[in-house]
Amino acid sequence: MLSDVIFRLRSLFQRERVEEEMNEELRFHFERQVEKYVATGLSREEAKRRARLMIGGEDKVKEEVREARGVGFVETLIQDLGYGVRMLRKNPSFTVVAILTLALGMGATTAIFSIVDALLLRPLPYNDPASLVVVWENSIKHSHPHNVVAPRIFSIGNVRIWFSRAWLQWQTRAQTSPAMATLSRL
Amino acid sequence: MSETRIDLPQGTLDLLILKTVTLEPLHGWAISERIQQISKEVLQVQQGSLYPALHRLERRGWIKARWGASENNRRAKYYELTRAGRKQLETEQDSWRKLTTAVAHILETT
Repeated sequence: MLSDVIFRLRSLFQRERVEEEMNEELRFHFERQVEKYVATGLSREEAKRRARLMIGGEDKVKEEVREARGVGFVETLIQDLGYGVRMLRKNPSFTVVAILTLALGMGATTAIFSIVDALLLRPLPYNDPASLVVVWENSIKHSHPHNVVAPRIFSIGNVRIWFSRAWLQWQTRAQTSPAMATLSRL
Repeated sequence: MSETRIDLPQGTLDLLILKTVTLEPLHGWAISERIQQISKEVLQVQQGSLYPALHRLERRGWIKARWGASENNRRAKYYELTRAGRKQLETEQDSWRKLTTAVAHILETT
């Protein structure tokens, strides 16, 4: 398995050398074939002609060897990429529209993701955020019974004090919650 | 160059190549020559199928290539069987025998 990967990588990154070796290998085969025909009494020209005929399309053989080495896919990909770049260069207006579309799409997605990430995905910056609870007040008398315990804000000079009587009582009596704080819209 | 030559069934070439290089490392041309000789000219391996097969077998790690001096003192690429290739040859030989026996059975009885 590993040797397969190494073999393919060599075919890909030492392409010129591998190509050269393949050409040499096929040339050797051709020459041996010619020698064999010459040994049977054919003229050198006739021998070459026969050998060429027997071997068939050389380029096709090479193409199939490349494929067998397992780099056909990557080579095709590189060619396709090159073609794509050339086509984009030919149609600048199409290129601009395509790039803008991609840029807008990516920008919007990134923006939405950063909001979702901050609000939903990342844990709140507290110890053990899963055990956070919100305490609500239920008043039977009021028309809107579900109510947060709103603190009142007093200002003494420029010091603001947040205060709520209910909250003070809850805080002193609470047995399950280790700490309690008030919330307010600023 | 008789007309009794037959085309190799798919996958058989791999088996023949592996078998041919068991005794000693050979270059591509010698492999095709040897297959032709031993089969009494019935099987003739075309270059167009031999070299892709050799490179595929090399990729699979069943044969190993090495450059060496040929019988006429030129640089040639020699292929030899690896240990994995020996195992593969045994498996393929085995299934080949099973296949031919089975086919022979059917041809003889029906």
